[in-house]
Amino acid sequence: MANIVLKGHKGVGGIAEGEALVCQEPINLMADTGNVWSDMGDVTFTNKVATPSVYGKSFAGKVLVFPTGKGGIFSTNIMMDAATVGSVPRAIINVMAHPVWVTMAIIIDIPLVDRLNKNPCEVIETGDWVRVDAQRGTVEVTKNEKQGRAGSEAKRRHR
Amino acid sequence: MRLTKDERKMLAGEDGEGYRRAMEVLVRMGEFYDARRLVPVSMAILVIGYSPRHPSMASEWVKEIADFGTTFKCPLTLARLDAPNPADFELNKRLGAKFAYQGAWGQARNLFCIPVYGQHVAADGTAVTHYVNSYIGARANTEDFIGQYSAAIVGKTPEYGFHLPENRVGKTLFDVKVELKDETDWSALGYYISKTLGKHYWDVPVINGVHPADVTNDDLVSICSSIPSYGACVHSLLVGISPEARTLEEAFRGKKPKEKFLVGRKELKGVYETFSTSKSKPDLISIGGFGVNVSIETMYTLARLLEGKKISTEFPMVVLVDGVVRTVCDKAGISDILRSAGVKLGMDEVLREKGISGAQFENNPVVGAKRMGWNTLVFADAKSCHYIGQQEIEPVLKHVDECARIALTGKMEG
Repeated sequence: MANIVLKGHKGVGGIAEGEALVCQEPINLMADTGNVWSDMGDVTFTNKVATPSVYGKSFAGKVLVFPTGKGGIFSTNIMMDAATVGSVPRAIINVMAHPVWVTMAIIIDIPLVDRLNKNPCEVIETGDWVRVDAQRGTVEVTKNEKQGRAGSEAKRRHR
Repeated sequence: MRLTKDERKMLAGEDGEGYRRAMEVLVRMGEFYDARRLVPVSMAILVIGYSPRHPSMASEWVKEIADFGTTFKCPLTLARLDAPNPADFELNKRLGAKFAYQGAWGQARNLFCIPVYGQHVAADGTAVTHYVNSYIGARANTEDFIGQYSAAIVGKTPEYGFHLPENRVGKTLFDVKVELKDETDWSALGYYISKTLGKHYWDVPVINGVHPADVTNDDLVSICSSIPSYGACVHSLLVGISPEARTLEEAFRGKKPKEKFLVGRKELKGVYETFSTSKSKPDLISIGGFGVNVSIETMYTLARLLEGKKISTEFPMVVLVDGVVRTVCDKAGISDILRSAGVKLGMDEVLREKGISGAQFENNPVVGAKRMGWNTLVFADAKSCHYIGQQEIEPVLKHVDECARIALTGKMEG
């Protein structure tokens, strides 16, 4: 059962769910996923400086959560090519969506929602299970209990 | 969103599948951003873009639309004359595009590629969008090829973002109290603004304290490239120069700025210190870089500094010159002067000498540097430094005359 429900603006696309990959930094696929030029397998974040929170991770099959897109108009091109090998997110959640990522979501046909009542990059953690209903503008978050416990135990030990 | 009868027909597919697809994109975009209506676009800039795949899915998307017999309804559609994929040229021709040198963000150097004040435009990446919003007073959001082509086909775009007058008002004030000597200083100012503002798409910084007599169009191109470095800021107002900011009061429409920042000698110097090195020599000097192409002024400056001399062979110096500037320099003899001095024109000339071919990425120094294992790169603009720095390569920011001296002596200077 979902333990947090976020409500936002009506998005594009329909319903999708999956494990969250949360990136704390704005994304430009052209600059942040270097491997697309050599290997079109899973598109992986390769930029340690610009997107350290997802370095080495792939968004394929995940619900990708991040603040917004940067300029990078070729992000759409990269995502369309990635779609031919199925290496795309199941859905996208933004704080405020950049126009490039909205047209991208329309074209590769995945749900995108933004303008939620809470900051999704703070509420959702990588590993949480997330269900996006773009037409209703809702995001249901089921916290990853195992990870949550491990996290708080680590915090206690730290104290 | 309210659609006219003709727009509804187009959305229903009565004008054909190509128009229906484009209209669907625009309507879904408009609904996402709460646009009330579509507005006519007078000009669309078209960039299908790079892809490691051939044919790319981007080209395929455009080709399908063309195959339905669709042609552009937008009166002025400009496609790349120097597109990396030759098939894209034919595709654009079928759709009814006109062609122009665009190169890497070079539109601002082609007068006929410039829109008119007050027009709605389907623009390109951040630098061009910034230029048409800020210094022409045309109205545009950043668009990928889907947004560009959809607007070009239908001849309209949803009225949201910077198409709306209320979003074009100044928000933050930057008071400039330092002399800006050249394009490099302008790019450093843009970078400082970008870093200070952070990552806000809708921010409109207002720059005060610069006299019109001290500004060139190339300076404006330079700052338009670098203000969006950190985020995607595509509209700023330069008081006394931007048509929507003839005075400070007009820039803010009588309101008070949200925040004020001072840019003095210390702040500008700080940008150069951010991009400095302790190394005694770089691996490459690149004039122009990541999304920044070289101005005619810079080419003349370099030619004046290097004519009749030979640069060091310790490391290469490249000018990433293309489009209309390249044509002028070839004809005016500037290219020959620089070649005789040992300067390479375009990244492909550098890589070819090293036995590497990769023509489609010729003007992307990141690809070149990664392939060559280069660690320290000197640039004359802050935007390139910013991007290169994110790729785990050490960027160094120098003025063009300093770059020429480093190239001649083979040694970095303080």
